[in-house]
Amino acid sequence: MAPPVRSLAYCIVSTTEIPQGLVGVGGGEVFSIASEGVACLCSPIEEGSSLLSSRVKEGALAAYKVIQDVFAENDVITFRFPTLFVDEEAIRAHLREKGNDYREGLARIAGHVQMEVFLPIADEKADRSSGTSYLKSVQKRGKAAKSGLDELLARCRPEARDAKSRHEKGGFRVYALVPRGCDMVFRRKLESQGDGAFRVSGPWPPMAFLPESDPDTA
Amino acid sequence: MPVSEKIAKTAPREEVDLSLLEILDHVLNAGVVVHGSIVISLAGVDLVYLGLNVVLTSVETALRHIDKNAGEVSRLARQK
Repeated sequence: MAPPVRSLAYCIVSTTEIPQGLVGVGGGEVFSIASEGVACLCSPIEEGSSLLSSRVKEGALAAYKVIQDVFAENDVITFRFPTLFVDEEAIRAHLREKGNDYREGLARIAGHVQMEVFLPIADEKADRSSGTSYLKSVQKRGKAAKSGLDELLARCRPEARDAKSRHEKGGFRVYALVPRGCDMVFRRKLESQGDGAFRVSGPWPPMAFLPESDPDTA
Repeated sequence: MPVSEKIAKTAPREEVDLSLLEILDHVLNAGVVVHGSIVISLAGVDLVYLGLNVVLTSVETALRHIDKNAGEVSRLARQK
């Protein structure tokens, strides 16, 4: 018996911005289910497809391509890959439940993209005389690094409308909400004013600025 | 041209690896996780399933695939 076909969800867009003719992961045509003023973009995929498991890298890159094609022209709220809906009715039910949240989210990020700056904090210079001193040393270096980044971001206004940061393994990641079309200006300003010790990436969909997302503000 | 191909043709190898990892990190780790969904982590990859019937069947299938080809996903996780 053939495995059941599910709907692989890519992103939510406003119903006024539904793109046409996209090819999804595994070659299925991307379709939209609209309800409550938003639309969910999906494509059919067999439940047992290796693109969802052993070939997940390939599947994820194909999903990224779909999202990028949509995101190039529209505001999107993305789903984590792979998010599978059982059938179209499950998507409609989800939109009935969460449509309002998605509309608010899309309004909040409208016309913006997310740029990210990663500042590695090398720990080879940390004080290793004891566990406590090591942690204190890393924390101190982290605070100094974040302060430097904040200063740098302040010089990038008005391009960076909002910013959040997160302490993660190996360094700090700063998320900046930047108006569409200003991402290159933002990147150039950062790269020209910094000492090159950080990595800038983007534009990404501004997922860190949705109401429910909460990168810590360490 | 797909973004991953464009990166591969225009950037040095180290940057290509880094960019691909950034992309994979965003696709696999950022984005809405639907409330009520069930997230199952297999070999470091979170699979998000909607509906218990899907979970029951997909996990079995996914585990079979993962068992056969765990190396690729583990390698990605280690690179990160």
